[in-house]
Amino acid sequence: MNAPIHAPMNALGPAGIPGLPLAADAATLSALVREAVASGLPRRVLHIRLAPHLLRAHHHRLLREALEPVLRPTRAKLFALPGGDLIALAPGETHHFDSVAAHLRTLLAGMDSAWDAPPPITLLRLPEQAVALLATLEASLHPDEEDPVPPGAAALPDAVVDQPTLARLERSLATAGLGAFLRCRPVLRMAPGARGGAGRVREWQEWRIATAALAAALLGPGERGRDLGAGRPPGGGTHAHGLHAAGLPTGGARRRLPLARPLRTLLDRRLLAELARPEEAQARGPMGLSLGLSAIAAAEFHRFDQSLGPEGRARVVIGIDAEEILADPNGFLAARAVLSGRGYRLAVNLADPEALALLPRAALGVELARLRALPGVLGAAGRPLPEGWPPDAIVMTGVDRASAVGWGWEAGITLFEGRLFRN
Amino acid sequence: MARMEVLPVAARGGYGPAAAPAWSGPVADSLLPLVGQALAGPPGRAALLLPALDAAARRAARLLLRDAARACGGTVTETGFGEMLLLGVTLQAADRTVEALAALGLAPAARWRLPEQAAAIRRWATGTPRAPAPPVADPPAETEPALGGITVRRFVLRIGTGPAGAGRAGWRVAISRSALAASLGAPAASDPDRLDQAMAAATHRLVLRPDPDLFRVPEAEGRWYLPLPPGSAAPPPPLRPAAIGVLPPAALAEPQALALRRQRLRRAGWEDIAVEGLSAALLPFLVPAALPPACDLLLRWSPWLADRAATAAVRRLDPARLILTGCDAGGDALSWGLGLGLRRFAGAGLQAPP
Repeated sequence: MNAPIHAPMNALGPAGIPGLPLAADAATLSALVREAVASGLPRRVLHIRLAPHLLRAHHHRLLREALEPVLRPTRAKLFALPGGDLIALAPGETHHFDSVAAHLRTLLAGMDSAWDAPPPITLLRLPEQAVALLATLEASLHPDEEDPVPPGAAALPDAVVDQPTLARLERSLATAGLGAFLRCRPVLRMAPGARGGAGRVREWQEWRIATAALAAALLGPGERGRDLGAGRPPGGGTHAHGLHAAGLPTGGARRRLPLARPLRTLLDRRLLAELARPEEAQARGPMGLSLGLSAIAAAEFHRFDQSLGPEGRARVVIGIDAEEILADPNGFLAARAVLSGRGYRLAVNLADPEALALLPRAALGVELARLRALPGVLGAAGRPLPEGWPPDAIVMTGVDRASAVGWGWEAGITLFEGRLFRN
Repeated sequence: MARMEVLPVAARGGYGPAAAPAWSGPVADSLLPLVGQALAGPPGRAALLLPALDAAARRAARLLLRDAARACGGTVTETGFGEMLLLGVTLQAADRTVEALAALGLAPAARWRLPEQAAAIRRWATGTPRAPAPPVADPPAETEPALGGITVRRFVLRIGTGPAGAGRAGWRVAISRSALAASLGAPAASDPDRLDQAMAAATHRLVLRPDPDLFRVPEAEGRWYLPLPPGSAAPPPPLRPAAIGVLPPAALAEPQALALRRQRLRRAGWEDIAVEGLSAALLPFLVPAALPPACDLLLRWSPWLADRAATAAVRRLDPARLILTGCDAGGDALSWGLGLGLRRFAGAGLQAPP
């Protein structure tokens, strides 16, 4: 089971961007960086950071055309990271890179029709700045649910969003376009024994807003490390979990905060607004998203609904947190009547496999359970799933280690989503 | 701060009546033109009027009304009084909506056929003096200070075999959601998210800085059922001996975390936990055998509990674990509960035995 999961990222990630002079993958680049550190030989690095919405062949072609002539005299090698970033690495003290960067900036600014803002370019020096580069590489190989918190940012153990901050966030979020913070990851059907990407079928894409990156952008550098989604419930994404809340020693414990609930609704609504953009809606294909009951009652949901059409709706999985169902069963009943009536697929979001036994699938009227893979909560592998929950009805989400896949396979589960799996 | 309060009668699943003055919906200056428009539309249409509801019920009802409106080109208007008006839907859609509302324990205040009952709906639209909408304040800032006015309700917990021959088993303390909503003012009071947030904050405050008056009752001994905030990291010390920490139903979503919390609370000196919020609406969504073992379960009374399906679901629970809350003075709750072997009851309708 280890083999397919810990295989080099080419087996999991994209095989590179077509048409790009792909010298090697990120793993090779890491090796080169470590080598530079070990040998003390100077290297210059040029890093072009690309937002996910720029990850299109078209943009990469533009960039390649800009890069090739300026890089040729530097003997630089160009690497395309799985996350889409481009990194050029050149031997020696190439002062030439400074002028290359300047030239590129002018060039990219001149092509501003291709993007909202030109992608940022960073120059790094090895071996001194190897740590920063390795962090970037690590993030592209194993992107966290969220964008990595910038190094040096103090992660607050209690990510408390206080009232004034909340007010500020709400005001900014009410109007901001969040396209740059939109993230998606595939839900893959993966049978045990499938090797190196063979036999993985993408069932749909899970969409969400990168809350940590958004917090960093909105709150400014002093506030980085806070995660707006800290109050988000388990299945939906990413973050703090009840066992953290209960004080289990699970590392950087983040409290689940009731304060974040209104914020969550606001983010849900912004997510829906982004997904409802007509120019994008058609191209998205099957998708999954987690919504609170308030968001389903909001006007943004109606616009999203209209952008889909009947066929589109049948390809959308909507996850609702078990907590919300328990707290407001009538609200869930109303939401279910509306969602099922319109042809959506319904899921309940869970963070604890034991909750499956408590929640009868048939009575809930949901097709799927999105079970968040939390180490320490999954428990021993090999226990059968409770009655009424066939393995096909379960999606394991937030899978970030091979053991979770193993746990799922033991139970017969074949649907997985998580940072182990990229598009 | 803590004062006794008459508890409002809860609807199915705990939807209570609205906190009266707090609504912030658009003022219905434009009601008449809208009504006129609907009347000018195709015949054979209907209108539904929903009364003011509490935040969660309003959210659920709004979902259903909007769905009906979208399906057949109708409109949903929210008046400054918190009423919701569905206009211009087909008769079948209106029927379906009334049915769906009934499943939530809600019923329209009025139902009109258009255009036959044009006069009646016009009378309604013009008849009530429309109050101006309360000024919309900056919402987040006002939430916290308003919590100063939390109202804590204290109910006697009765044990007994009949309305007459009953003894006291202890006390239950709860925060009044409707009083909290009223103290928040618009628009927070109509937003279930904000209300939940305020409830959690108020519960924190109650547990960490309790008002000593709360426990100053004659015969204060016996078990005290006290609310605990969701997901607090370190368990607070118990407020008094024989304290039971009452957790909201959402805590059931994570059985392992719940078990751990129970263990930690016991170690901190609490007698045990209990889970509240079981209701006629929630019971169908739970497998009784998988509820946390051997702790008290607070079952919220509503007339819907007496339905056959709900009663059958209650029968699958150990009556010795159940406390029927929200008992009214009328005695329906008591007689229903006693019939099922329940022995513990709480509610404003129950008087402390002499």
